[in-house]
Amino acid sequence: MKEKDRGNLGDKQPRRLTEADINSPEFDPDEFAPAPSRNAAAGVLNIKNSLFFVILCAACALVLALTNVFTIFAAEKGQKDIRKDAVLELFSGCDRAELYDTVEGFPVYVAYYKGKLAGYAVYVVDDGYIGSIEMLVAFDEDNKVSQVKILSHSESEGLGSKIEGNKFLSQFVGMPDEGISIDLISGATVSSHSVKDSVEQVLKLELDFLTIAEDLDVETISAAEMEEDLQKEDTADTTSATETTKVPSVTTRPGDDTAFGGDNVGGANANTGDANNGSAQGENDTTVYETETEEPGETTAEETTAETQAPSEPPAVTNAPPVTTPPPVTTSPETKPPAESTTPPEETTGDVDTTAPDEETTGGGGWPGWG
Amino acid sequence: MLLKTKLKSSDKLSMLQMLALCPALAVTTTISRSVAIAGALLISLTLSAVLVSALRKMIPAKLRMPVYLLISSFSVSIVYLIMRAIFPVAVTALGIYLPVLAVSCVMVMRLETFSALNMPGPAAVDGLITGVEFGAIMLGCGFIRELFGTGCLLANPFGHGGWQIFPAAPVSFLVHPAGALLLIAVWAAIFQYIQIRGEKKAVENPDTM
Repeated sequence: MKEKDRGNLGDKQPRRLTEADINSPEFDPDEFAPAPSRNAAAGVLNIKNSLFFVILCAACALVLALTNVFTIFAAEKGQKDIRKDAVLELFSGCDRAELYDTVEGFPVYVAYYKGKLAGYAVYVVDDGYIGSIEMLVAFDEDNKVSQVKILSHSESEGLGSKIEGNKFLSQFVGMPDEGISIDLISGATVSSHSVKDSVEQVLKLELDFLTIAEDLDVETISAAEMEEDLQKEDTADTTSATETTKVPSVTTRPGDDTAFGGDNVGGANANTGDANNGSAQGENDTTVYETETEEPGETTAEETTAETQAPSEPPAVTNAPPVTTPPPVTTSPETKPPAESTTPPEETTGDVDTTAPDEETTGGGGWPGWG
Repeated sequence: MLLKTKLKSSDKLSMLQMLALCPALAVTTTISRSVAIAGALLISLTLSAVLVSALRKMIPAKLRMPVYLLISSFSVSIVYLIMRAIFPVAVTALGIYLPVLAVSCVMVMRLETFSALNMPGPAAVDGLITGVEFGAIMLGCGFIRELFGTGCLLANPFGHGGWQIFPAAPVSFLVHPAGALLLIAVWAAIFQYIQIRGEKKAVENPDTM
């Protein structure tokens, strides 16, 4: 029957190799080797075979096309959802991300915090060394790069994949500044150059935060304000938590006051730190976004414990307010520091010397990871 | 009944043939990815087995490999398109390894040695069984690699979230492809041992076979 199935096999052709043949003990590969033919293509290239193949291809293509038509909508929505999630990860604290518009072929996403525009990110694809590199370039309210994230790439593991590393990507932060130069990765020149090119391409779009906000007709919120708002919520949570756990020490003083005092001290530290660092503002921007992710709640909890141990705190509290009261609307460096209040207090908890804010911030000492 | 005949006539498990285990190295770092790739292969292999077996009397003998390739890539594409709509995260995480199933060797092998010689029914069963075998390997690989490689279980395909079982990754080496290679080698050794012991027994008392 099997022989009959192979109707178009000529009689001269060898018997078809079957499973039984392979398993049989007297299996001899030579028996089944195709007979040498002067023109191997002669048997293949006839009208019947070609027609069969063409019809089969057409049928497959038709079914695939129909499937594509029915699934493409859901698929695109899914892809967009993935990108929106990625955008939300870039702007930690934000609760909603939307596609704003496609500018010169680049999809631009916007992130909202409580209905206010917090920032925007541009999706860009470029060819790497092996495959395409997909990335998101996030901008803050100053139209400076706040973070670059590689969504997907297929560069070689260990070399090209270094483009994902924070060491490389953090160079782009604050990008339109003149002073920033990007160090490419040795061994991954093409990959890292491609990332650099993409970021530069995005910068050429010259998108503007306020224009986008006007266009969307929404209020804006700066990263600093957002952080403040988030911290208020967090401190509310953590003070209640510390009150329950640290009952003996907290009862000596009102818990809420200490918590907010701690925040102010943090702000003051950050301000002075900013002044010290001065020229390296782009780097400060990074810390804004990086420290955001490091649970401000945790550090404020540490603060409160530190303060309850050191009763010399109140003077610092009185010192702080004048420093941290610039009008929050100005988008100059002064507004960012409150967001950074997470790092310096960690330093202060290390040595409980929480007397004067000026002494604590010794240059880059307050900026772990940026020495 | 069908299943029994299939199992008896079945050649060795794909585990022992070491066929089509490349996705096991690259993809199975989490259970969710393993499930995704195994499901994709199960469905597309069954589909193409049925198609090939239905068309087996029409397929010209000399053109059979191109036709098998066409059919397998067709079924993988269908599965890809549907999965892209339903599980976009899984498809993004699997990347190239999902479309590349079209030229997976286990696919071509089953089509050539079984589907092309049998009725669509047994061919479908064969496809399902092979898919389940493949899935079992993928799942086992995914389970061990995720549990001991990352210390979590049931993370999403991108490797985020999941239940923290161990505080840190006990054998983080397993996350790398080389770790999977070693894992599969250990498994293969165990399978071989069991098989050889079974053969020895069969030789000692041939009546039981």
